[in-house]
Amino acid sequence: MSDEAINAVGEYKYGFHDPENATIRFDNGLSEQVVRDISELKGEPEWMTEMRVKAYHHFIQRPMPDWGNCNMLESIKFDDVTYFLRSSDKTENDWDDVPDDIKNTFDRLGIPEAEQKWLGGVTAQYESEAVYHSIREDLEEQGVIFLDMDTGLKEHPELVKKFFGTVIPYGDNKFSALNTAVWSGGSFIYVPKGVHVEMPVQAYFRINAKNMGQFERTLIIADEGSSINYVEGCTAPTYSTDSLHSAVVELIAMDGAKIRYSTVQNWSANVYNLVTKRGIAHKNAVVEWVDGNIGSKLTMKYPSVVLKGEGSHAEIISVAYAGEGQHQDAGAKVHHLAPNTTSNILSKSISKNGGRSSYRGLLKVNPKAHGCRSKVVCDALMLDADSRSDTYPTMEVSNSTADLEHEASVSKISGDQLFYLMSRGFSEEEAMGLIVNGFFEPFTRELPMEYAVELNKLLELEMEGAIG
Amino acid sequence: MSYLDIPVPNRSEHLWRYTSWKRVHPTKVDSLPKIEPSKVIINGEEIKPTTTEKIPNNDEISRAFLAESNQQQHIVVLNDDMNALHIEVSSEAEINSCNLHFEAKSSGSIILHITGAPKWFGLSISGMIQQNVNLSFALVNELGEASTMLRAEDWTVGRDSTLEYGELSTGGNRIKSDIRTYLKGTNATLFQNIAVNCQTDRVDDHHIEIHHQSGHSNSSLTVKSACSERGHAIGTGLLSIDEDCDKTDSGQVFKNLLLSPEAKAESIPELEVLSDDVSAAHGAASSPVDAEQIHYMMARGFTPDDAQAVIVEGFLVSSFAKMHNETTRHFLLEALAQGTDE
Repeated sequence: MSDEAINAVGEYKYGFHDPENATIRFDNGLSEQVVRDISELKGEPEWMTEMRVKAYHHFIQRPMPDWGNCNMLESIKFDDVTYFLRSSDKTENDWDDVPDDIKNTFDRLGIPEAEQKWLGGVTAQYESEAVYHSIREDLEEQGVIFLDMDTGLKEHPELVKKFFGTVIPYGDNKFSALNTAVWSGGSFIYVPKGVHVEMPVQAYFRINAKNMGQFERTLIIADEGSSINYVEGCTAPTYSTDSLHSAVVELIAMDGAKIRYSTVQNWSANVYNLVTKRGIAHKNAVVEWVDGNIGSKLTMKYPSVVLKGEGSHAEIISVAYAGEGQHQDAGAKVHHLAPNTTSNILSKSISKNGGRSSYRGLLKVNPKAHGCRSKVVCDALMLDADSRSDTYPTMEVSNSTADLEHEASVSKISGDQLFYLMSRGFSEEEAMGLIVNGFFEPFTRELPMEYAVELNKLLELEMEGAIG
Repeated sequence: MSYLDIPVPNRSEHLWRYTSWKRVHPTKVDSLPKIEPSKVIINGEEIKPTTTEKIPNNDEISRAFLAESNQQQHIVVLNDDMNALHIEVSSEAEINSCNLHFEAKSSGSIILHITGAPKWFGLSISGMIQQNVNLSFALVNELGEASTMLRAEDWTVGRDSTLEYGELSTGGNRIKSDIRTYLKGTNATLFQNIAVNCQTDRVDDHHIEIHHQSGHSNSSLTVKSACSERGHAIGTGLLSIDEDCDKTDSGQVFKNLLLSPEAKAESIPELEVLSDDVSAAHGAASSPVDAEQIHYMMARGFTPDDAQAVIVEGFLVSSFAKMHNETTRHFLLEALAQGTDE
């Protein structure tokens, strides 16, 4: 890593990058032609091309959000972004067939090893498209479809057409329009009725090139009575110029189904991470978002759940760590549309070295949502006087039988806790690390163990130098 | 900036999200009518306003409008000779407003009672609480049931001073209140308790900002809203703690009681913290009346309506029960008891 890059974005474990060996790279900048070219290159059906073009025009016309960190948003240079870069001619299902430089990257990230040990399937996306994809045979035999999104559209066009953009239409916000216009890669999953995918499936997203834009699109459909646990991770090299990650994730949990979507976002501090994630829960279904935000320059991400069916449940656990130059604008949204629906939101954030963390939430209860219950808890820790913590919760209640609670607190690490640990032999730094790990514990205990261990290590790294 | 130069605020702005400016303007938004001042009686004596240059220019639209449409102001000074004021503001014309400026130079109490049945009533209050002064302020809004009220308040609390603020809002049909308090000195303290009763199709929109601009300052805000029939209560709050304001202690609670299927409540208690050694917390809750409580009272002879009225009174009474000043506390509790009996 160059000194210039270190000065710009700080130390970062995954900041290495490989030489760029693109087989296809579009010129920087966005136009209708770029959108059409991406679609043509992928050999997509006409309806998808038309949707992309409509979304592109919507993106151009729609103004930037006038809330959140407007200064950072305005500094995104859309014309400098590469909207499509293909690194490998096809998606392989054997790591040995993946180009060496890319395989080395994923080896260093530990993905092949994790796959052997504890995953039901893996998609590895490098730049714009998946370079590796596999699924356990037993899952395939049960009819589980786990493909990268491009292949999903080719092999199951009717299924994709039926659900694509139904949870998050392109007109939802400026960045969902951008994603719909230029999406590439992501995961497509269909779990048949009554099938339980016991081992988590994982997607790993890696940006390698400079000024890269990654716009993956994920669609997960869990049919009646099924369940799936999906885990995603993401990293990028450290450059002194910025990259853009703008994903859209749509989850559909049919009657009695359960989807858990876990994310550990660890982009380098030069990545704008502007993601739209939403799930629909039908009758007695459960949608869970477990969302960790450690990296990126600016994250704006508010995983949401629409509780459409009676008795459905939403669970959103999110943590954010905002260090120097970072703004983690994260949160959660739940729409209670049906009776007897329930939701729990737990948000935890830490701000350090001038970082800013914001919780932005919405809890909306429709007139027909009788007997719904919800609880929102936001806790923020500030580790120094240069940092900032904000909470912007919104509760809109249109049903008199709804029972909602929201509570939030902002504080520093307790001197008593530090003193207690230090009196038992821990250094101040170790004591602080332990307290921070304990603060995030409600999040880490929901992650697969390997991820939880990794997250704790990451936090320890981030906490280095927190004292003095 | 003049009112006519200020752009009409967009609904995406936090302050105007639920009640647009158009709904609380007395005529058309592009006009600046000349509005007559309301009748003001202080401790039984009618006081005439003075033409004043003291109302500062303001870029915020409601403050600019209130200042420019009525350039008459009542300046009220609380000092050792006069430390318990009872102010009656009566709105007799169809459209009128009142600009009040309070200067608290010694400790005491101010009761502000708003009555009348105007079509539109505007109220602008600015208050300066000087060092080492404890002011207890009570406001009761009992406007007619068809009235619209636009209200903007700005309070500054100085070093070692306390503002104890109680409000009962039951009158009018559409109310937009924007109350801002600036805690500017060390050990400046605010206790703010607001009770809102939204019946029939009453819409009551409170925006409450508390700005901690000095360390060792304290604030506590409680907003309780009871909504019945098609009542709609909105409570938006901003609690900000500036840089270098260590040892600040602040808390906000918004509680809504929803009593009918068509009642609605919105709560947005925001928090912006730029200092680390602080204690800042907020909470919000919405819930229906506990069926067990209704059952308990009906078993003792109450009708369902009476039982509900008693529960609402109990819910709102707790807003004022901890107020230290006896004069203001009694006034608020009496007004509440009368309101719920009717």
